[in-house]
Amino acid sequence: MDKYSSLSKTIFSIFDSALWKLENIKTFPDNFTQTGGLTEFIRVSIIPSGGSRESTFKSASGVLQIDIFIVSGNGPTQAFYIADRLDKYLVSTTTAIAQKGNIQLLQSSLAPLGIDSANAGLYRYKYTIPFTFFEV
Amino acid sequence: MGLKARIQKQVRYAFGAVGDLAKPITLLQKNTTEYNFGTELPVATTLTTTLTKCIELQQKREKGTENPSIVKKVLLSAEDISDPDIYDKVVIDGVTWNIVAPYDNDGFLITLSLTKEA
Repeated sequence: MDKYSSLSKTIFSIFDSALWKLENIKTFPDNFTQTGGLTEFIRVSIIPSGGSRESTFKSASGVLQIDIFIVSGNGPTQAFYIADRLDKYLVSTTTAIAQKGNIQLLQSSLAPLGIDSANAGLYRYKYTIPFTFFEV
Repeated sequence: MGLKARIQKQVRYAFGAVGDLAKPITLLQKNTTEYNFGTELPVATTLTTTLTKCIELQQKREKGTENPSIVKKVLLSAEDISDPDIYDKVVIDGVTWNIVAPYDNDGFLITLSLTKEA
């Protein structure tokens, strides 16, 4: 499998896991339009940057950006709760999965971005976590 | 009869009065509220098909973009359909169109923006 597709599958497998689904946090990738009128959800964007591709070794580094949307006006507590849940599954773990991909996620950060420009009923936080990915 | 009902009656009358300017339109609505990270596809359920009539307002080819597409605007009676979203499609004259922004509903009339690939 090619580098970007393999990277995407590896990260998506985290959010496809039974444990993450038990957290009951609605999770979507970018370029998916949430049409259900939800007041709380997250949106996952993979931003790859450097890396290499040789005949037997593929690697990439980059940032996993997760936008956290919560109800506007209720303070930051719920965003911090969701960020903690993300940390539980993502930070400082090496995930090896069936696609032979391996990803290491480093330390996360969280920043408030203000009221969502598309829906004033939502407030947006940006959770980011750098990663390195390799596939043999 | 209340004012709202009177306006709705006039909208129905107008769609009848314009004769063949009101074209048949089929709205294909899916309920897409989930994404499956395993299959990497949106999860679509409950396909609803609604056959009604629309009035074509405008059709043009967008310019100034790298991927010009044909854009159409149509007018429908708001009582005929429920609010569509970008995962829904419409069929007019056997051609399938995608629904895009902007979308306007004033409670009586809906203006849909549609695109098809060039």
